[in-house]
Amino acid sequence: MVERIRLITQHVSFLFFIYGGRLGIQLGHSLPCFSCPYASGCAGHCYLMALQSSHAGFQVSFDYLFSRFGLQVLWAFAAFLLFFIPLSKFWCAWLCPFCLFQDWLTMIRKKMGIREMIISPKVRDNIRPVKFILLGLMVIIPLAVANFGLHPDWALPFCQICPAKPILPIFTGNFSYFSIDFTNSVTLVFSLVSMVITGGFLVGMFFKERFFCMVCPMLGLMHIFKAISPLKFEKNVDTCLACGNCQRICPIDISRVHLEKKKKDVLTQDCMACMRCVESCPGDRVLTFKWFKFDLFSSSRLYLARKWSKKK
Amino acid sequence: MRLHTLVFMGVLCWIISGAAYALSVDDFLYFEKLELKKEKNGQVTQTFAIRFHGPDLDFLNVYFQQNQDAAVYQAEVENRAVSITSAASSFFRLFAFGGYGNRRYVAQTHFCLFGKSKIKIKRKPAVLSDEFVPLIEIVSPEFSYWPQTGQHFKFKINSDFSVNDVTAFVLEKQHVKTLVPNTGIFFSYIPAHDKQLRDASISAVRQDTVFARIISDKYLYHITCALFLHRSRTAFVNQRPGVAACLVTVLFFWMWIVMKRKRSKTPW
Repeated sequence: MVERIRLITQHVSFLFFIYGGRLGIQLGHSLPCFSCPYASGCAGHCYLMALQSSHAGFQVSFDYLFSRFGLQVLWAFAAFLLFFIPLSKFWCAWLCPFCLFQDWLTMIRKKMGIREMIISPKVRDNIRPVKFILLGLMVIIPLAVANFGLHPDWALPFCQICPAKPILPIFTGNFSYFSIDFTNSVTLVFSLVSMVITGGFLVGMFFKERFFCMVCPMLGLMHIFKAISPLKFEKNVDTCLACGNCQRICPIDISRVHLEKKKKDVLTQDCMACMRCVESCPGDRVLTFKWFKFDLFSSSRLYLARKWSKKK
Repeated sequence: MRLHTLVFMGVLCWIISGAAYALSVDDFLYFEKLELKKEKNGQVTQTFAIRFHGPDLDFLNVYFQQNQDAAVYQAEVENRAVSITSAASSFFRLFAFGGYGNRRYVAQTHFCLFGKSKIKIKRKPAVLSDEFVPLIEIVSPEFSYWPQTGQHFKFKINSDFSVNDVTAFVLEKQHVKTLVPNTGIFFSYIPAHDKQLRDASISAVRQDTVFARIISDKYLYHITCALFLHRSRTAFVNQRPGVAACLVTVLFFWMWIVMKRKRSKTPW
């Protein structure tokens, strides 16, 4: 039931974010999801672009940053928080258009009967900091462009290599970002790296569910502000059987939910609030997603039994 | 034989130097882009030098239009330089009009400024004379806020009298190229790509200036239009190698996964 609602929401939000601009909807440039500005006619822009830009981000000289102009950077960030705080990580699994694209690839793989790739916990642990490294580079590189004479074609470094840049415009009929830019050596390297990364992620996203989300800097940015988010994912450590169902069903293979023995809060940095773990938990009220004090969805033995009896 | 060659070369040099003299930019009034100043309050100021190497002008007025408004404003000229300030993202058309005796000099250009300030800038409305000033009108691209090298520009001499004798040329990177009229008053020009511009940033510009000389019953008009060209966004973007690079990567990783799965003893 929850899975079905999530899929419907994802499809509606995909149509909204990718084509909404054609209906005159413009939500600004601080959205906490991959509503890619390169897909012309989108309903708003991903905040990661604004973060690296010269109009609302860090591609400005230090003089400007610490003047009144700095308020523009703060304003864009405040707008990001305004969008992020109420919905928190629901932006990822429920609203992000690029997440849905990954889910489509997973659906195709499952229909073809190809098994999923297994990524070891050690590899996962090594990959985890990548999203924060990317986030750091999104601040450092634009600052270096504006202050230390780094070539201006290094501007928007993440957008230039983000796989969403060539992929999402396809849905507006634009295939032009699958290209190599021979203008100069910097554009040549960036476009070549972009194509290699896009190809690599296409394979990765096909063989592993939510492969891109493992390194998504937006998820990292959201995690930094987890404390001010009203979304809580709680576990009743006393009643949990540690059966591991939650990890088996999790698209990101998060193990902490069933391994946690002490803490109530089990919202990890990789969690995207898809709620599949809650759906698959056999214990009554063991796992609960809360929004402020309201219980959004709790695990239930009866719910799981009904779900499996329907499947059979 | 050698003497003939020398004579021929001498004559050729004399003709070329004569042609160059006839098309000398010194007898034209034109804008040259100087510094762009970004104020801390978000306003942006672009300064232009007004170049003219001829005798002193009896009068020199500079006007500008903002966006698509019909209103014309007067710009202050200081030491043959003019500054235009913008508080918002705006498109400007800048004109200079000067003259002495029976010679009239017109300089024009258009450019964008990306200001971001709430401070309102006071503009001084221009008091225009009734005299019609012929201009170089850019017919196509009709509205280009981001003119680029490799674009096909079409110009038209816009005047209230029939133009018979037009001499037009363009100064492209210090090289003079003669423009041949297509049909009387229409000219075409495709600015060449530029390695230096390609290596610079996407916002870097190169100035190419179009010069035209027309004769009316009363005056001899020398008109210029300065184009500030960016590097081409599309000319060097090639889709085939991009798609090929992506496909090769897909094939490589696909094969790698398939091979690894075949060799591995445990499911992977």
